[in-house]
Amino acid sequence: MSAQRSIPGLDRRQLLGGMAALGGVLAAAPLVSGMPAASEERKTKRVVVIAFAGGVRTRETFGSADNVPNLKKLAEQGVLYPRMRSSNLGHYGAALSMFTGIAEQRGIRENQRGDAPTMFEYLRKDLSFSAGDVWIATSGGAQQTNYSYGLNSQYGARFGANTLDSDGLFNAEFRDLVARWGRPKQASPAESALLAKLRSSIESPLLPDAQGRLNSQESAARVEKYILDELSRGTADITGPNAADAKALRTARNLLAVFKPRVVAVVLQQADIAHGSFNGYAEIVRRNDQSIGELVAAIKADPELANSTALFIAPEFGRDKDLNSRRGLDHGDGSDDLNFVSGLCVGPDFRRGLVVEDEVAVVDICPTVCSLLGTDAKLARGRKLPKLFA
Amino acid sequence: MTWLEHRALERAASDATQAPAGGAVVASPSLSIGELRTLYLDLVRRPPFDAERQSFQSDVARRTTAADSPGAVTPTPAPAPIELEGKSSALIATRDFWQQWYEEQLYYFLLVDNFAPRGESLVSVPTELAAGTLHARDALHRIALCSSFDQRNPGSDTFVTVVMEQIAGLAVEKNRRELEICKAIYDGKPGTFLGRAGSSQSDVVRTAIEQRSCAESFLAREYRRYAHAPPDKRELTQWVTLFQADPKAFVDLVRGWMASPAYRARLARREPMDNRLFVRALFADLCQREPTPEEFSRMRSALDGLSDPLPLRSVMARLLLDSDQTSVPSTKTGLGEARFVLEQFQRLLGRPATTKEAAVFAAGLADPAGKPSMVVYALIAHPEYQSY
Repeated sequence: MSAQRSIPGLDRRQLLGGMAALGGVLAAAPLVSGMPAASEERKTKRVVVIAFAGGVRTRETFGSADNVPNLKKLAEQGVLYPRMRSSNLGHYGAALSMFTGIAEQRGIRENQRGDAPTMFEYLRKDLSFSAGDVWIATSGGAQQTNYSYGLNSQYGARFGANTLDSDGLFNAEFRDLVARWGRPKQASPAESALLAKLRSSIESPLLPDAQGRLNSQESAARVEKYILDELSRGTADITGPNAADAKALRTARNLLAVFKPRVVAVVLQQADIAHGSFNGYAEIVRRNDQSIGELVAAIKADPELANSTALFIAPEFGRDKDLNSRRGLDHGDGSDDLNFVSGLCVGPDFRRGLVVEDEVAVVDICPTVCSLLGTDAKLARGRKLPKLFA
Repeated sequence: MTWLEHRALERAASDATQAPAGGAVVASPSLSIGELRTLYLDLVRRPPFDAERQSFQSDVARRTTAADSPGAVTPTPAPAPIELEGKSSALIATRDFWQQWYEEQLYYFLLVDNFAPRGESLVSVPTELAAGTLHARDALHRIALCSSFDQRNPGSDTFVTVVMEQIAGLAVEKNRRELEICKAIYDGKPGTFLGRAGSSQSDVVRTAIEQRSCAESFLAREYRRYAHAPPDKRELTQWVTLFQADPKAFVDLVRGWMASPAYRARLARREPMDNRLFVRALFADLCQREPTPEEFSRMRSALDGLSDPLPLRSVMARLLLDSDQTSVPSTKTGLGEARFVLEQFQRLLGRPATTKEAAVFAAGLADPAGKPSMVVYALIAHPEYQSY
């Protein structure tokens, strides 16, 4: 099978011309092929993983003329996998598989954690990343906070990612409610010291060990401050048909600026409007592409991030080949449109402008990210993405 | 004295108030204040308001006085139940209980915020359940047929998957054939789903609701919610048989669960508070009222969006305490530091302060930097408050 071809909707001349004209969002790739032996040798220090989820077909992304100009620009600078196999496990299970590297069947509304560790747990445990180093911004409510960590007793909450459902948290109604109460009063040093003394005097022998908590007292304080600040940054004012997804991408942008974290995952969801409206779905794909463009521009503009950040972007699965009776698109026909998505990787250590037609899988993202940053996703069943490294 | 020693003493004192006089039949021991708090949180999903707690304490005191003076005529009405079985039965009979039962079902189906049902036939469900004119299975049926459920689960694939998984308790992966049949029925084609003929969306729901597997998953879920433990398989089979024969038996099942040894064992341990419970507890404890639907929805939604909600819970407690909306005294003048501290431990943690805690907190409140709201915040922001 050929390892390289033109990107659908983007001819070879455009692709090569684009590469030359655009330079790179991220650092120029090394000329030498082969995978560096250790993460210290790599330029990548940070990873952004975007689950372009909600069920998105390649037809509406790389197969369309102009829905995703920003993704196409990124493809020119990275590696595109148009035959990335997904599993129709329900949105929750399928997106979770991207982070665990294991295709797990989960109930469509199941609000329970997965059994396997996530990439965030591998990274925090093996590389001693702090809670502030690993974040997830989501748009789909309570269920998606379960991506933070799984039930494996060797890992768990103490190695989880701080997860923010941007729409649930940063919305005008919650901001106004908080504003009605007023800002918290600033405690004097004497008051803070006294409060700490009171808190530490409470004896609670039946409570679980603090080792099991995601945040330390210090990181919890930083999260408190970030939430209060973010409420006044304008994220809550984002409106429009993709508002929840746009908020998640904006939150990721702000998290990168504030915390300079090692890993930020973003889980989008609103493309699922396609069940009832194809046109609404296409519009959300277009708008999400625009928001991703803004995120990439912010990374490019930050000297600390520009040459050290890799991006992974893939839907969790696609949609049916044909429209349903409501002129929408479901997920259930077993077609290639449903089972294969296009995955995109861009980063300073990756090849550029390559289309790899080998069949890969969504579950390959977890082991690839872990390997890129210097550890092994021990229980993942995916493999590292082939032909990725320059 | 440690917290555990306190708890044992409190339990012994509670038992002593129920000691039989003159060889009378032994009554169940009264609930302790901590157990009362837990029972309220489990059944009506908020702690008792101060007035309810004080009323309970008065009932306990009156019962104690009556036991000390056998034969004495008391002109006041008979006190309300103070033991587990009677108190839980009384709470289960309230509309508050059914309102919270209904809200939990909506949350289970993620019918919240924009998807919260607003039609009259749904809004009246708690009242009808409390009056006994509607039973739990029909309430579930009504929820699954409402337009919000349809909007939340658009399309045959999503709708049928949710009905099969969440109502019928079936794993879709293992029932692919049923899924395809069911999707065709949803689209109006005649078919037989789980042994019953149907040709519409409502037929799909009705068939799922009437399955034994639906009763089994529903009762197991409900038992876990109240007893905080998995059900015994043999007992579950018996409950399912009872429920299938008469869905009104659900009320008696819940009464039985709350009076069971398993629930008594639950009272002896702490369980984490979910975000919904935290928000309701915060308002009940600080403002002596329930949150408005808007307050509840916004706060729950914000907390649910965090993998670690503790930092935001602390923020909410601080903001509320710093506002003028709580019943916490703004000044310590004339408060009586020691008494105030002991009351707050009982009120918020459901237990007495240990000797050390009482001393540190009383000294802290007497400190020039100490304030009543600081005492309350220290307790509410502590992980112990956020378990029950």
